[in-house]
Amino acid sequence: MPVVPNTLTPAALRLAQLIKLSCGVFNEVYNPTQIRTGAKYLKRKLKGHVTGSYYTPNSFPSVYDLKKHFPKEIQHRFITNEDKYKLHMTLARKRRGKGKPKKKDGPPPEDPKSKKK
Amino acid sequence: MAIGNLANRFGIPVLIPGGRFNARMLRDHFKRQQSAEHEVTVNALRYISRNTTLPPRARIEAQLQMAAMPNYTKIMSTKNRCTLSGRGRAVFRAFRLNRFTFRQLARAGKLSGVIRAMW
Repeated sequence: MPVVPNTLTPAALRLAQLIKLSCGVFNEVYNPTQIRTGAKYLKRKLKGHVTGSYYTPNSFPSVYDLKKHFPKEIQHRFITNEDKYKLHMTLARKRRGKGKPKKKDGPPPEDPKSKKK
Repeated sequence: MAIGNLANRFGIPVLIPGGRFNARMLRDHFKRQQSAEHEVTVNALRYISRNTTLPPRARIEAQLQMAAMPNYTKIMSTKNRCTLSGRGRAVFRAFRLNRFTFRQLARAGKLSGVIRAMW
């Protein structure tokens, strides 16, 4: 395959030479016959690191993760808004008598099925 | 710390996303991780198969190899979902949020630069 097509008018030939020179200068591939070389697939920027980190990263520490690195005396200060709301609701329920039932004292009652009549 | 929290999908360990997520988000997250991992391979195979100067046998082999790769390695199989609610429709790309989640956060003043239109 000729590097520069030789069936060109002098003006067109000159232009082809210019393009070839320009390709050399700007580090591009000179492809006068426009053959499909698939170079565009290699030229493309890789986007895996962008598309791969779409969701929230799980490496970001939560309040509970931070809590572990502090002494026990001040760990109770690490409270989120959700915790506050939860506590508020629990206390409100308790005031209305809808809290947790008390645990029974003593041994568990005997199973009625195992009793002989 | 949540680092190293893994799920298993098709026998492949998947890093789970941070915060609240649902099954569809995890599925999509898996595809994203896998497509990122196989991106270079896919690009190379695509180059070989689309390069008309290479021998046809090599090109067809590359095409078959690409076709044999699992669907989850293809970047086109991923879907932009809401990163908070997981909804797959009406997701603003710039915020990665569904329209309703966006509205809630914007009204609460939690999105910087987003203000209510007034004129």
